[in-house]
Amino acid sequence: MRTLQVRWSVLICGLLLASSGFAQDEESKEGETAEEAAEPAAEGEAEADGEAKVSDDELVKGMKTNTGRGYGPAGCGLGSLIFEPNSGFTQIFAATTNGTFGSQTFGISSGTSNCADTSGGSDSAKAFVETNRTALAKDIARGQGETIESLSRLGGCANAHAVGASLQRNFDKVFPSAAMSDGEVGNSVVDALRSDATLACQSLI
Amino acid sequence: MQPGAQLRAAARFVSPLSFFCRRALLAAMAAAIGCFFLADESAGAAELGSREVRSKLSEEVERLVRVAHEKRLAERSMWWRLLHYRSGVFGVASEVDAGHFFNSPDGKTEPEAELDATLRGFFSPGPSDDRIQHPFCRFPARLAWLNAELRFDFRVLPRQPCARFEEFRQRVDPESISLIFSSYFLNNPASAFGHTLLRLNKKRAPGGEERQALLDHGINFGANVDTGNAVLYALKGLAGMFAGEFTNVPYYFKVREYNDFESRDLWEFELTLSPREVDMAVAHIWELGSALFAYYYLSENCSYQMLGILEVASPRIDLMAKLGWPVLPIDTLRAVAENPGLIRAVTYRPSTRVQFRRRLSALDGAEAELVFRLGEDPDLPLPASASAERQMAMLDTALDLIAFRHGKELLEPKSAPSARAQRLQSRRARLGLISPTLVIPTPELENPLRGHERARLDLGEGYSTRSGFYHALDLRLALHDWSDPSAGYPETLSISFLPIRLRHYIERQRLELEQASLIAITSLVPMDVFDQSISWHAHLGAARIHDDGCDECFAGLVEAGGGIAGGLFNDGVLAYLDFNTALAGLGPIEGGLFGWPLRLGVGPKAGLRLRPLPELVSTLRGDLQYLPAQTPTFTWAASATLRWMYRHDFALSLEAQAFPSGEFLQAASTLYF
Repeated sequence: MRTLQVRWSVLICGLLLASSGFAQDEESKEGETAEEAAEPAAEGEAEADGEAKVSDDELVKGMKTNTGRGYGPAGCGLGSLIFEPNSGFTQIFAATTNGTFGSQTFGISSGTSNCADTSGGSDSAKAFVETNRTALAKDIARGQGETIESLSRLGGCANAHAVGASLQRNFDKVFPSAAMSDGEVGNSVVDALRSDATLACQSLI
Repeated sequence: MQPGAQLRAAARFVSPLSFFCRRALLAAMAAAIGCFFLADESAGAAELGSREVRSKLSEEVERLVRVAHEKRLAERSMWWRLLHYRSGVFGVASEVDAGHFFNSPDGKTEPEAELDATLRGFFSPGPSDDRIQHPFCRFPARLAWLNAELRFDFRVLPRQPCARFEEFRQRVDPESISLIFSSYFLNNPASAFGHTLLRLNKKRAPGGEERQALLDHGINFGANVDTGNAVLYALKGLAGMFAGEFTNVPYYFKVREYNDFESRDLWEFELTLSPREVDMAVAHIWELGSALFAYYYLSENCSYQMLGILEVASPRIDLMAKLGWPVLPIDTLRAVAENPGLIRAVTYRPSTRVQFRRRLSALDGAEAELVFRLGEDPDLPLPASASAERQMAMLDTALDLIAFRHGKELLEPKSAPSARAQRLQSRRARLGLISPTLVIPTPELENPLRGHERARLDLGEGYSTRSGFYHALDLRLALHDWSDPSAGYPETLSISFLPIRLRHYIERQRLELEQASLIAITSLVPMDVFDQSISWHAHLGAARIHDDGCDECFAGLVEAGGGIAGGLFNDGVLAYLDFNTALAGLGPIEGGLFGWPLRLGVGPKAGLRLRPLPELVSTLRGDLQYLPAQTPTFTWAASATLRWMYRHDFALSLEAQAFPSGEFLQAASTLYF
């Protein structure tokens, strides 16, 4: 019985080691190549052009793999960041979201992207509308909801309830057609908030 | 010295030295240390300040290096946490693989060299390319800790203005931090085991009653995936061939992505970090922004890196030591929960699917029928007898129906569901009432922390009608299957990673492997008129075959298929019927396809699960395979299990199996660990 237990544990440990060992080996190899790849970037001035070029390429590549439509100038909408709908097999098995947001937009230290700004004002309000478009449209139809409260804060509006009621009344002006681009929706929502003086959305002036 | 206070002071600091003086100082430093950094050539000898200042600075830096050696700071756990050092079989190495993360060229493997270079780097002239940050600004957490240990004398040592870091700090401006767990999602392998990220919770405006969490910042670690090929994706993910990077994303992206787009619940665990600990976490996040990690799907993954940040935030937190292999998001959540008092509050953020179901439960049968039809035809006339409130309830439910059924298409403005959604929303808005806030109580039983541990060990005794009594050992590394108690896991979840079954037959004195699989998944979506997603299963591994074609032989097995599922009583009763395709090979199979040792079977696979109590689960499963042009022509298997968890993580299990060549009965004691 004792020898048997020993045999079992040896077998199981062996299996586990085999699988983790595989990962370990690759780790060291990959580490080296990744380091080499990053080396030029650390060189500074001499490599500055090369570095800029790499990031341009990456940006372009990022746009293609993520969307085919690109983002940045096109807006911050969720649809622009998550892979193309209807790409079937690829879509299910490829990376989704745990990694696809390009770091050009959301890098910790890239800081200046409007898409990552939640500090208030019309740019961050528009970015918010573009990404939350679907959920916001539902909330506006209902006259209240979390996205309206967030939007109200970004706009510096006096009262989220009033914002909800006002946008609900103006739904057809704000969303005249489903085919509007995310950017157009961003503008129309912010314009609607601006044009209703009773809402006192101070950050949008 | 308080690291947090120091950090703030350091970040706000504006150099008191005149521009001229500072230039001179920098040049002097470069000359003194003169190894890693380029001297600023434009600072000619004529501009140099006094020799005294120069030598005083370099003396002070070298003194700090000596004190650091005396205090053995490079051996301290905090230094190791800051640099992500791990000691392994191949010696010490940092998990960071590239990026501007090290000051010393040997920094990846030599903690002390890195510490020396860090100290010298802090007070060096810095890089000449102003797009590359000065080490003083690039490593604010290291600066804070080293300052607390060594007490930098800033009368002698120069400070740097850190505008970029300061901007980042102001942008995220957290008063607390939450660990966010995004529930299991089998339709995406990257998320099958769940996902975790950190949320930096902004200071809440005083008196404001509105919810503001959407505007917080999420700190996410993810792989930069560069392939759409499933096989490559799996291999590269396992082998660490994707680069992993930290990103800072408004939390609303994550909510839309998980709650809406993938219809996954989010669990938010707010941590009891002090303001100083929060500052330290933010500083370390900034440091990680310039780091590149290799992304390992099973170990150094999203969840693992979140713990790395929390460990830097506070020495009182101990997390990494609690992790085994593989590292799953739920393990990291548990590691946090094992630090007493670290979790302050739990918030549940339901998926659109759950929101829809909640709204639906407030409707009667006729209204539910109308909701279904509204989803197809937004202009459907509602009965005049329905009050405005009831119309509102139906329209609100229908809005959620379209949202969760067409999550993907709604991202495309020109799609038909987008047009339908817009017409329905417009109609709802014209009705004019303000909807009451949808209240969904936190389903305490589904809290992922309530679940059993992910590894499962069964030790027991069994009887085979052909081979007599046997000892049984079953081991599964992760995560949860149908036969496990359901608290903390979705009822429909079944994902087994590395299940192994061993049997020792007493009379025959033989140890046999009954099953060894890499992965087995059954993804069930109970179907009704509202949700017609298909269910599916997949299995990759090896198992013993018990029929005439290959009596008791062990063969590799790949199975996959899809079908339908149904649930009753909140999925307390679940059933599925799949069409299954199975390919067996790599074993001594007789009568296989074309006489090869290869067997291809097709046929139905079905299961029924009864869960009268969260702790008591029974399952029945069976499959029948037609083996065209092979012998035997048909084969089948059936099994039944009963498992009772009498104490958290301890259970008793009964299992019966039947095959063409014999039956098995097994009783075991089960441990989750």
